[in-house]
Amino acid sequence: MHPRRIGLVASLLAMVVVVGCAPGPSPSAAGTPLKVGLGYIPSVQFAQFYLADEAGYYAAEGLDVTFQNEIDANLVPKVGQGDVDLGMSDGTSVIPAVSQGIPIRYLATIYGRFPSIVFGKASSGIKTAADLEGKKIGIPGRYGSSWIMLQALLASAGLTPDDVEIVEYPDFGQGAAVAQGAVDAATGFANNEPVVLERSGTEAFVLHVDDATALPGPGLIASTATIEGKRDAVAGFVRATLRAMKEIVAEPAKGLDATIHAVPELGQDRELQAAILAATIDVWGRAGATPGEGLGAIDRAGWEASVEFMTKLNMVPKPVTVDDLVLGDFVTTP
Amino acid sequence: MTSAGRLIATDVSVAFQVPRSAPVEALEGFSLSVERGEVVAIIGPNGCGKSTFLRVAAGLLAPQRGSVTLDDRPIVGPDPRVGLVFQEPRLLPWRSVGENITYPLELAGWPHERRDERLAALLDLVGLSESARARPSQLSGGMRQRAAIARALALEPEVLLLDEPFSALDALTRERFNLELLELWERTGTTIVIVTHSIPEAILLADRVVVMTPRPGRVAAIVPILAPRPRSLELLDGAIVSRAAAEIRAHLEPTGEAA
Amino acid sequence: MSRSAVASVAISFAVFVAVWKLIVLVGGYPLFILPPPEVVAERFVRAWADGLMTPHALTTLQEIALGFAVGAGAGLVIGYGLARSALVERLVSPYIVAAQATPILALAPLLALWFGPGLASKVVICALIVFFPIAVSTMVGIRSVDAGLLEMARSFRATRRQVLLTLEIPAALPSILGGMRVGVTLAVVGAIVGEWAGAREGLGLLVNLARGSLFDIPLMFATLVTIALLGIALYLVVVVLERRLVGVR
Repeated sequence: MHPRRIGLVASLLAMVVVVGCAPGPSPSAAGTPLKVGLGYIPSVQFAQFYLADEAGYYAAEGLDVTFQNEIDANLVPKVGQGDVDLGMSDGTSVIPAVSQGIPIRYLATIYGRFPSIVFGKASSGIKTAADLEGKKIGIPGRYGSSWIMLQALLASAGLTPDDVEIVEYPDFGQGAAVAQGAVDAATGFANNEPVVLERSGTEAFVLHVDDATALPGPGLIASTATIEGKRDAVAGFVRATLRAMKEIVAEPAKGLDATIHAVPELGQDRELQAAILAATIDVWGRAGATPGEGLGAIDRAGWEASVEFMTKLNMVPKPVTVDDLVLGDFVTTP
Repeated sequence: MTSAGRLIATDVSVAFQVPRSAPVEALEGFSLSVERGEVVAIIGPNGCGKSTFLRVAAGLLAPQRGSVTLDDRPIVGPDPRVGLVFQEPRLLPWRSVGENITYPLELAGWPHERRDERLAALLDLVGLSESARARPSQLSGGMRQRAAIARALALEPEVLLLDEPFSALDALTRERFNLELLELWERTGTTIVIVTHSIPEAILLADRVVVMTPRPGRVAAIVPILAPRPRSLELLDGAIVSRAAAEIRAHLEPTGEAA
Repeated sequence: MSRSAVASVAISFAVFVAVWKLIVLVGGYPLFILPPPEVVAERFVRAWADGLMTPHALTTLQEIALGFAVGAGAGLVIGYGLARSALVERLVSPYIVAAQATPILALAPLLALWFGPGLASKVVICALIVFFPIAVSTMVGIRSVDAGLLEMARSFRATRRQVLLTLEIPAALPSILGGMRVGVTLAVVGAIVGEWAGAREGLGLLVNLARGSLFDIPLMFATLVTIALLGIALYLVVVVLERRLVGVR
């Protein structure tokens, strides 16, 4: 080939390569891109997201959603920075984060009841928080939402952690410890350990902190900048997600199927996944509310009580008000 | 002055095992009688077994045949009656000169005050009184060897064995050290056996020069040095000496080299 | 330290702080991603003044001290054995090397399970991480003793014990202390990693607490600074020890 022609072909190839490697989608035919961090590995507890994605609810809102379905210890700062558009977090994280200047807002409640609970064998005779006095309680460690939940639960019965015997399981083996009788009770998640315990044939008791003290459960968060710059997209995401949640409450099988389509490995034990989903749906709604009603609503009184409680725990260096923490524009308040 | 120090080697033979090869006869039938207070030089080319004999006499090497006795008591291992000076000073670099010289006393369990007393005498003997606190690294090669000699004399041995002690020094310094060794010998009266590859050094120092040849190592001749004592450097130009040198040379390797 | 040494340390520190500040300014990082040096400094002073940092620092220091003592003690003894006996070396070194090759991060949760969430597991992890460099440096040091010096000592009828005390140990000290320099900084890593596998107190725990529960990123950085200072201080202790024990040679 003539040298000039080689040069022309080479530069054309180079241009194709460069254009082909060009970054990111633009909000055109594909819709507004949204990065959503779920903060945990793929699980049936995210059924509403899998359903909304599969059924095209996000697309219908003009959204192109990418999920980060992994454990992420830095999710809250990432949301605050805008590296991730939306994330999931609860009051025990949002309150200290906002107090430390991370610019996030809580937009919609996903878990109307705090999902971190205290459980154990029903045969232990424990029925209320007061019954925990003097008992052995297994926890993963003195940190995180479960630790705060435990303190709040004990406080509601006038107890402190010094009134019980705390046993630490850094490897998260407290569930096995309960099953073996090494401890009388343990912290865990409403849709995990108690489900496993009951399926093994043992009746379990579950203590919910919000029966005594309101603690806002995990919900959708976003940075103030994202809320401002992508307001319509955020609103659309919340709408689509709540729509899927309502459908799953009415017909759980829909959520189960969508999950298994998205994460085929979970299809190996449908029964277990169904049980977990049922327990999850249980904590979506507020205690005593009609299933499927008031999903996403933000409990301002609960947030206020939480701020008070966490201030007592010295976790709120700069005082915050509920308006600093939540933005109810995207849901209906009760 | 010591009244002992008669070293007698009888038919000493040493062979070294060599892998996949016949054993090397380092020393064959070596016999030597060193009188009290005598200075004997052993000279010979590399591989003639002179150093091997010294190590047997020092008790560091057991011969396959023969024996070495000191005042009728056999040498069966390292012996406090024998002082040994190696080719390199082999001083402990992390100790001062004084601590190096008193090392054998320390090992023998001497208490502090006795060690200090002896050290003062030894430093004076070798002319290192100014350097007691210095580290070996701060001394010249010659001074380090002086310290090694002082160390070898620490336990007042009857016999002092020296294995080419001055070979690392330049020729001029070497002559000076030879004279110093003679002075030291006059003061202590210790029997001296010195291995060397320098004919002038052997003649200057020794009453007799044992000439050895290699493969196998054996005594070729023993040449008496009839020069009067005290010896001096001028001696080296004399007729007695040149005759002795010629005789020594004649018994060495055909090349006439001593090393 | 000489005047010029102090000056050079001060200057390099100033440059470090300046570069840090520059990165924050140019990158426009918010406090909760990369706090600027003055904020970290303020939080550092406050954390010590409030008494927040002290118990955690003391706990970690305790873990390091005990872990180093155990690990170094074992390292010295085994290192000596490895140097003196070819049989010991052949039998023992495969296991030592295998243990060293397994990342501590992977072993830590297992050790926390076996030894519990208290001091013991951190000491074990620390000791494991410290053991290898000291065992190797001891072995190398003992082997490096000049054969000529050994023969000289033999010629003066030194006993095995005398050879060890007057010859082998002083000769091996530079190498051993070099290994200890490495060991002591690794001990800091070991204690922190041990705490991450489960702890009630400690600087490693405080880092996690600050980052994940309190969202107090300046405190997280201040704790990292404390950890770094701890490592530097311990390293300097070994350097001073080396100067005193090894001295001029």
